[in-house]
Amino acid sequence: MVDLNIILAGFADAFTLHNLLFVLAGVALGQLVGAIPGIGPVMAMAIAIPFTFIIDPLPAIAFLVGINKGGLVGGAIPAVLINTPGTPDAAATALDGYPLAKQGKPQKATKMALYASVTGDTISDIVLITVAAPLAIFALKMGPVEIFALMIFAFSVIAGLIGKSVPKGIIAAALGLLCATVGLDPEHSTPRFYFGWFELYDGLPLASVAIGMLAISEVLRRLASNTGTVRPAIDYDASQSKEDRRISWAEYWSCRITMLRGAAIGTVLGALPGIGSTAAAFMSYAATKQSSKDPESFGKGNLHGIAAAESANSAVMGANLIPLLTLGIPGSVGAALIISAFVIHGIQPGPLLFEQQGRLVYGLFGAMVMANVANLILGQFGLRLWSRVVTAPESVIFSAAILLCIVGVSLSTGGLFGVAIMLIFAGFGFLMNMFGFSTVIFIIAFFLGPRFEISLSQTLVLLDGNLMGLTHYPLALALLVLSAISIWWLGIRGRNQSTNSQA
Amino acid sequence: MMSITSDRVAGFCSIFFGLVLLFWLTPFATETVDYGWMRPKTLPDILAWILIFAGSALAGVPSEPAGINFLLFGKAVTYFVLIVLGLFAIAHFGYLLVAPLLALAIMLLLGERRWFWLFTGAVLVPAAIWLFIEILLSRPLP
Repeated sequence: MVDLNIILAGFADAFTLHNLLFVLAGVALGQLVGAIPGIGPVMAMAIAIPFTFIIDPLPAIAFLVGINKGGLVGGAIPAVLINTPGTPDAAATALDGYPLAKQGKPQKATKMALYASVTGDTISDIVLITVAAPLAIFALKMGPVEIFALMIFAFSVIAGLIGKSVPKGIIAAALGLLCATVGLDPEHSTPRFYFGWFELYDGLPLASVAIGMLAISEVLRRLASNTGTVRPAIDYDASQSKEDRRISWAEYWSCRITMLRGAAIGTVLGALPGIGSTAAAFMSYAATKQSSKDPESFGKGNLHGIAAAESANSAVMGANLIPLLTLGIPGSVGAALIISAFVIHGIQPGPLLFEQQGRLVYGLFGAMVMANVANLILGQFGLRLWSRVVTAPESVIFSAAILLCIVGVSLSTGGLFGVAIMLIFAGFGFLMNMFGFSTVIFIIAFFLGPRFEISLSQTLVLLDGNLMGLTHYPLALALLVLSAISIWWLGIRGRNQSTNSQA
Repeated sequence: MMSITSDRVAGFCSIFFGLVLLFWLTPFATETVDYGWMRPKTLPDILAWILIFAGSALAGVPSEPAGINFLLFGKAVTYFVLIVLGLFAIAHFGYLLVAPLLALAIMLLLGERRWFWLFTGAVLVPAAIWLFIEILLSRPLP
């Protein structure tokens, strides 16, 4: 049990002007790089780590945490304003954020994203600070069989996003899974579908696929729909009423259940290594859409859609630190970079961390709280600036978006091969959109695919091919039952309700 | 007689791709392994069958009788080819030389003729990206 004095001393260490400046610098940098498609906070953290050698452990880690948290808000900005997610996890935010911005309310849309992001992040930080250890023990019980059941559950949630045509949803998911099989197969490590390109041994890069399908394909659609008149990328009326520019307390409060649900999904998935914020955002979005009394309004600028996606993807960040701090297992690439910063400063994350470095850990928690406040304050200024930037003509915005995507993907994948993949998927995404297939379902299936296949493979080995052996795994059984309920609730019941309301 | 709709076209494409995947692509691009529960071709084969069945459902019962907008498609192909050419040029001549020209070409094709915005998009934006990536972040541009 950690001494209360250590907790107070840790928080006192954090709340200094020196640390505050590092947190502010980190958050500002994170928001900036998060808003540039393809670059994102992970790359900024990787670049910043060597510079943290020369500073004390707490400000160094606080700086990195600031970048990570700032990136969560930054990624939502281009997703909302130009339908170009800065980071893949912001793709779900674009589903409702962009339509709302197109209605001439870019500030309202980005502010909802900011508030939901900070709310989700804060809730997950509170969970981290208060119940990190028990949650980590729960996460440790999640073996391959339980992870497989969790993957089934994640796929069942996709049922809520399928829309009007079930065959189209199934085809989109199958194509996403198929693209995820490119590279070494998980059981035998033999190469599949690489056609002589050794760059594909590690699979298709997520940044290339996500940015190509979601961002460049949308830019292509907007460029092709142009009728020869150059208009602003977003029609923004400076004289619009205050209600269209801000989020009122009533609007924020009406989203409280949505944000709580999103934060809960993000926290649970974030505590499990390797699941990631993209899956959390889409799961939260689908759950919110189907539990809504007005699911038809989703995808048309519903504030709940933005709140669901942002609260969930931001909640993953705090929860990612649960397995890191308690077990020494990084839950994501960002957490892995934070672990490397710990190690660089001679600190070994793991079960003994709270006992041996309790003061530093609680100092880190203090810095996380500061980063949330900094995100809120800096975000207010940043969003206003970005909302103005996108009132520039679409000729400038779209040519800039294309250049940024090329540069960002080239940097994140280590060369132009990744950019070529991005362009292939941009063309494919454009065709999918044109024929009415959901690129979002494709991306979720692509993202979950590798984890699904490896957990299925491990499960079959563990159960020796006998699925009745699942009865020995109560948690997995519970998740499979939840999946069946979810398919009925999100898919069948939701579709029936939608059909009835149309009739 | 069945009418040609975008759903039917997509359905038949899905069936065709599923068959190609099942009988040619997967056998050609995966290694034969005769042990283990999940072989390299297990998941691709299952997905191929899913594509065939779902494609049949889509071709058989199209959900919406929508046509294909060939004008939109043609314009998108034009921009796509321009970006692909830009990427080839970047690979040969580098970002600094090609990015301003690519941005300028896209803006002119979109109908932008105002000097201020042309200068902003073709000079200031590529220069700002170069400054941020190469100078501030010390990362090499393509």
